[in-house]
Amino acid sequence: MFQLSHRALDDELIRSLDRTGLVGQRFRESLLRDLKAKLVLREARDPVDVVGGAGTGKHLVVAAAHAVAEDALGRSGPKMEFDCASAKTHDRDFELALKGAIGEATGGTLVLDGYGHLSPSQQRVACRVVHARRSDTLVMSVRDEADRVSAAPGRTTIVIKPLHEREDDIWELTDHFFASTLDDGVDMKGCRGFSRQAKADIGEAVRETGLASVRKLQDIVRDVLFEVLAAGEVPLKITSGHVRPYLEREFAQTEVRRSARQAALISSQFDDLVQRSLIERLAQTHSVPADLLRRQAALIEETIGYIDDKPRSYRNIMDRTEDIQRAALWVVSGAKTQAEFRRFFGEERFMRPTKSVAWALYNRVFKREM
Amino acid sequence: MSVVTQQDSSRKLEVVRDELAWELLRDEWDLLLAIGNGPTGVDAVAERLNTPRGALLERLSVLHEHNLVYREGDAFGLISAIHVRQEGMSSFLKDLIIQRLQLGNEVPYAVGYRDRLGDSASVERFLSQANEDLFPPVFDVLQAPAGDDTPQAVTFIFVAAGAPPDNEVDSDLDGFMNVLKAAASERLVEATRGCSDIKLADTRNSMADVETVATLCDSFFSKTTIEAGRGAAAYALLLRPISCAS
Repeated sequence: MFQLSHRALDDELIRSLDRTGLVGQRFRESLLRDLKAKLVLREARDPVDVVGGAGTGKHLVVAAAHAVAEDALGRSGPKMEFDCASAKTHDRDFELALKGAIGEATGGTLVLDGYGHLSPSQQRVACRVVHARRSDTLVMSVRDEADRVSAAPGRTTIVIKPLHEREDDIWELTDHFFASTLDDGVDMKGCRGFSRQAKADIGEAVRETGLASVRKLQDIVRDVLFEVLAAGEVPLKITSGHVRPYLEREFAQTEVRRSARQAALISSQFDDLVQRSLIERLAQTHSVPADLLRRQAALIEETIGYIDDKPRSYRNIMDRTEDIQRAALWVVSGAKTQAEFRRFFGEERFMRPTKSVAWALYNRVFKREM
Repeated sequence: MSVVTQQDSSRKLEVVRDELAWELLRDEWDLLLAIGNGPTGVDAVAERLNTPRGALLERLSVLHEHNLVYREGDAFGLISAIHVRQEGMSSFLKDLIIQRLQLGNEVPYAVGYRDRLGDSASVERFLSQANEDLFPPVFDVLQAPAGDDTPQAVTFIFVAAGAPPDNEVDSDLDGFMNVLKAAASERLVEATRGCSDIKLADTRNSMADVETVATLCDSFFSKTTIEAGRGAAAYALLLRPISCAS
């Protein structure tokens, strides 16, 4: 029987992400799903590629993966970096250096930093060495999305979205960078952070200019903060009055463009907000994460698209989705026979389906005439 | 926009366009509702919010400094005002309206929907009529003093739009959402700002007051003449127990 409790695992992974200091609820949700599927359930055996633009947080994702591997899988080896940009030029030397690094990181994580800087032949060597490794080393390659790569070691990839596509996280990151700047010793006692309008203005600038880098957002927050300080005031909140001159100067943002852009966005945002609120409510009602319900809805939508041999009526849609659910449960059970399928649910009789139920399910799954 | 209440209902509501005041209003929404019309003693508020008195006094003094509450000795009360939205439309809608409607925590007590208000010019006339005949009595009722034992917080939302999408509307709530979405877009564009409106009032009132507001709106809607055109208006009244607000 599949014993893993996803809720307990999720809680554990959330604690690991907290430990790494990852900020942005939506980003964390998506990363949690990635790390669970691509690292934890594979017991860190498969190499992982981490791909994203400059400043999007690739190394933070690697740090989170290492922390998750420690907390959820009990790994205790070191996290080591292998700088691909300054790697040996001869393939043989490169191979030896890489093998050595993999060995040193046994039980831990080896990060192939700047993987895109390797030559095509070095990339092929890296893939061969990584896949042939005998040591228990989690290998993660890190590269920029703009890099052209002919061969990557990862059997699976974590792609980091650019900041301008992470609208929900921009406000949270702005608050975080404000707090971290104060933690650095900047004296703004009494200031409670950025106002909602100021954060909306920054968000507009990020979207308008297609800004990808989280690091750049940190610069914006710090720049504004120090400009406010330089003006000799510590306001209760940093408002649009403080932020707009900076954005107008640095991003050519204007009032007219701000309004026009908001108006253009509002329709899709409204639909998204309504949909998201509904998903959150239903997820809460059924005690599952919102993301799971969202994926389930997408699957049903896709399933409906495959019904082209009969009308897409309520009955036909329900029949098809239920059949697929039964087939998927059979796959999850790993059973080859009806008896194995019944045993999947436990040793005790009350846990199992009856023989007739298993027989009926088997016939529906394999479309045998009853 | 948002309206908060005070005992003195005869006072004309001041229009406030201050970003800091708006921020405090949003940050301290629950505290303001817990104070109510007042004057409410600090100890009573501290008990209601389960917050230490010292921390509460600090927060109240900031609110007092920014004219959101008045003070009478050791007691505080809300200062009535109409606050003009000082944040992006998206977060305003999400936090103050959509989540409250969609999360099911606050099922509307009453919803009214009125379509066929004519074209943009007709909706502008409708709104100007509403400013004369509907909002003054509605705000008077919403500002009526409510005792400390009033069990519910009331949210009144009024929306109007010149050209909402021609969607099929299954219920008044559907109609409300349709107009709200259109009004949000129209409010952002100079050319359509005059024929659209979003008003929101958070108060504490008795059930009799809530009934009166619903009746005033329904009656105003029914008196309006039917015209060709997509213009539409709607209102919603949400209730939640005061213990949730505090």
